[in-house]
Amino acid sequence: MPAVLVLSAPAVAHDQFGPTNLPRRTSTDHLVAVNMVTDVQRVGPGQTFHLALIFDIEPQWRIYWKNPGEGAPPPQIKVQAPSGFEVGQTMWTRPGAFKTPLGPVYAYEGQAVLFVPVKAPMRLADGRVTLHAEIKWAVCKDVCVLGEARRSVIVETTHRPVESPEVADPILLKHRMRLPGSLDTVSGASVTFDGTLLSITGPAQGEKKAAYFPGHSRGVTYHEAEVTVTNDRFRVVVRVDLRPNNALGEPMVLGGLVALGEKLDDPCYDFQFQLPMPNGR
Amino acid sequence: MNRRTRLFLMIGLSAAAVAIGASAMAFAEPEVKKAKLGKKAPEFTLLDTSGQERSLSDYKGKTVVLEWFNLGCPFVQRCYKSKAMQDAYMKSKQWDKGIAWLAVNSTYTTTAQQNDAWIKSYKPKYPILLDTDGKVARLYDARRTPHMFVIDKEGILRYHGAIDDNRLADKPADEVTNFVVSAVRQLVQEETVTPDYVKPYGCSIKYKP
Repeated sequence: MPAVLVLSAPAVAHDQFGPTNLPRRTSTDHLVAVNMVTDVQRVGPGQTFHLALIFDIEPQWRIYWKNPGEGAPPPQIKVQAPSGFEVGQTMWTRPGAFKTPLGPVYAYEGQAVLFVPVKAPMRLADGRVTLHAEIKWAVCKDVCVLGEARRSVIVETTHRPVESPEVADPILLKHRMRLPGSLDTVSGASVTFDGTLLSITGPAQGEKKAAYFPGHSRGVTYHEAEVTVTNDRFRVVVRVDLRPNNALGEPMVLGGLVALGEKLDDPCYDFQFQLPMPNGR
Repeated sequence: MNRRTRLFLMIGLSAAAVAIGASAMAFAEPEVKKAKLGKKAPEFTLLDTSGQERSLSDYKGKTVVLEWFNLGCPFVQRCYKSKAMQDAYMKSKQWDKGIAWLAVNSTYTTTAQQNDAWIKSYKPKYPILLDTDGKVARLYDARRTPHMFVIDKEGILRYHGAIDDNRLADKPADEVTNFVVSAVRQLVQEETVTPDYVKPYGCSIKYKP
């Protein structure tokens, strides 16, 4: 049995001011170094900006996508924002897919950036606000290690609308390119579900390969997908088992990510739709 | 999404609603040797850490909980340090005094000394069975540690999956649903076990290569 190190990043608040001070590995002792920055210098009334959680991961170790497949649980990010600021759902960039004897694992290696949208209130004074995030993750290689950290970021606020608010940071730009587009917006794409088979088709955009990374919803089990690309169109067919009793009262959602090409920077699209509840809710 | 897609989706969703309506699907598949919900749990015999041979059939007529376990896995460690596992055992025992709880270690690298140290440290009130070659884990399609299985008094597998809904330990103890305790309670109260599967979380099983 190899020695297992269980490490946690220190739970020390680490203030970053706006988008500056881009991530540095602050310690070589940790398998994951996490930094939080924003994609704005300043935020105006009603403006949506993003917190970017930058994970620098020790080589050969992985953290996991929202559906880890046969991997460990994905990172969890809890954001505390000042009153009036609305925090949205974590936005997950395209992960890598890795084969394991138990099945596929969807995960990030090297560096991963997850984005959390935040909408400023319509009434905003000149000043500064601080946003805090509590981040927990599992990082695995042959063993898994749990980590957690708290990070804070200060954002300048202004009562005036901000023009061209986004900062062109190369790391954020690179990872933002890996955020999936919506399949809804792709001309010629379609999703059908007959109660058993989920079929997704659309233009392959010149890519010769495609992959499907299923979503995760309690009560929904996806079998192995059959994915083909012919005549510049992709087709995904996957059998889905629905067990409403295992949804624990939550809505059952079908969805996932269609990843064209093989590189993380190749186009990818996501979709999801809620299935009707068995009791008509 | 274009109009055609929406139409397909609507048709599909209607069909899905029908499928969901028929959720009490009967599995009319032939009996298989591997563990399957609603079927007889496959028999096995393993040695425990004290060298005693234990078979599933030794516990005939009892509810049996199998806990896939790896002392090097931080999710398992967390379950024990927080006493979530011990509490689950105690609460299950309160519901069903005769329950048999068996931890199974399929991690091929674990040494006897490591098992002994774990037992000294946590004093589990149940045996740890050694499945070093992973045969029983494969038989049960155990995928994670912890991965829990609940077998009823007739030997039928009624639940398998996660121990609870607290995969990142972010819930206060009184808000956590323990699926094993819930399954045992439902069996005692002669209810259908619901849920019967929740995707397990934790480390992957370290099978012998």
